[in-house]
Amino acid sequence: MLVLEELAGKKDLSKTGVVKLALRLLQTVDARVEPGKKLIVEDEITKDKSELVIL
Amino acid sequence: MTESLVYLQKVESGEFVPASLYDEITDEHLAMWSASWIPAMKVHCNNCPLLDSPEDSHWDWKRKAEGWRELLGYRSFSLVCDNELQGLMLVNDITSARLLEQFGKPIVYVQFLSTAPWNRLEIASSPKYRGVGRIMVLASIECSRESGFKGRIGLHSLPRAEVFYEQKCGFTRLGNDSRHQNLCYFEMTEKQADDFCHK
Repeated sequence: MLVLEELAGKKDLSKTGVVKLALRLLQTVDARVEPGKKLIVEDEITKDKSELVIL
Repeated sequence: MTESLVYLQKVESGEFVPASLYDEITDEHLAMWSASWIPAMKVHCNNCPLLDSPEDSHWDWKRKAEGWRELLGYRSFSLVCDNELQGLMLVNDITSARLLEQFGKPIVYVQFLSTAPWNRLEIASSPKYRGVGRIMVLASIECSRESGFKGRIGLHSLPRAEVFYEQKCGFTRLGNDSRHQNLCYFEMTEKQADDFCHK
């Protein structure tokens, strides 16, 4: 999987490390984002906010 | 749960004594915190002006530990010496670096780190043990290495601990963070982590 190799390079991790990190992140997000809560990404300079839609 | 042998220094005699570092805060550790840290902290806070209270005196370790216990991305550590709880730490390994040279790479982020009230000069006229903070920083570096992050770590420091992190540990200061109670953010690179471990 090309995306896995790209992420491993970008994050300075092994491919296994990327998958483990992804699992930890997904579990954390899943535990935090309950009905009525949103996950927002904010641009520090422009203060623009965009919502990450979690399925 | 893993137990590692570490050493703390008795301030009074200068002697190094064995201690146990656990990679978990158990119910037993929380009971020790509740039975010994809270009363000692309360006595101190009742006898000093509000502004002089330790900056972490309100931290509820029971709530903190239980809030993250089930999550894979969070790890807790406790340090016990002479059957007394000497230190507690909560870290996560789902945070990204901010320092330009390692920006976006994963780090272990130290969320909370405390040493027992009797080990602090601001509370005890003659502190009992020295070295809790150093051992916890070393543990977070080791945790970072285990996760494949090569020792990269970061944290927001309470104001009175800034000198320790910057001068004793060798973190890079990245400035105050308005999104995080205006606390100063510090980060350590792989090289800084190696240097600190060999000090």
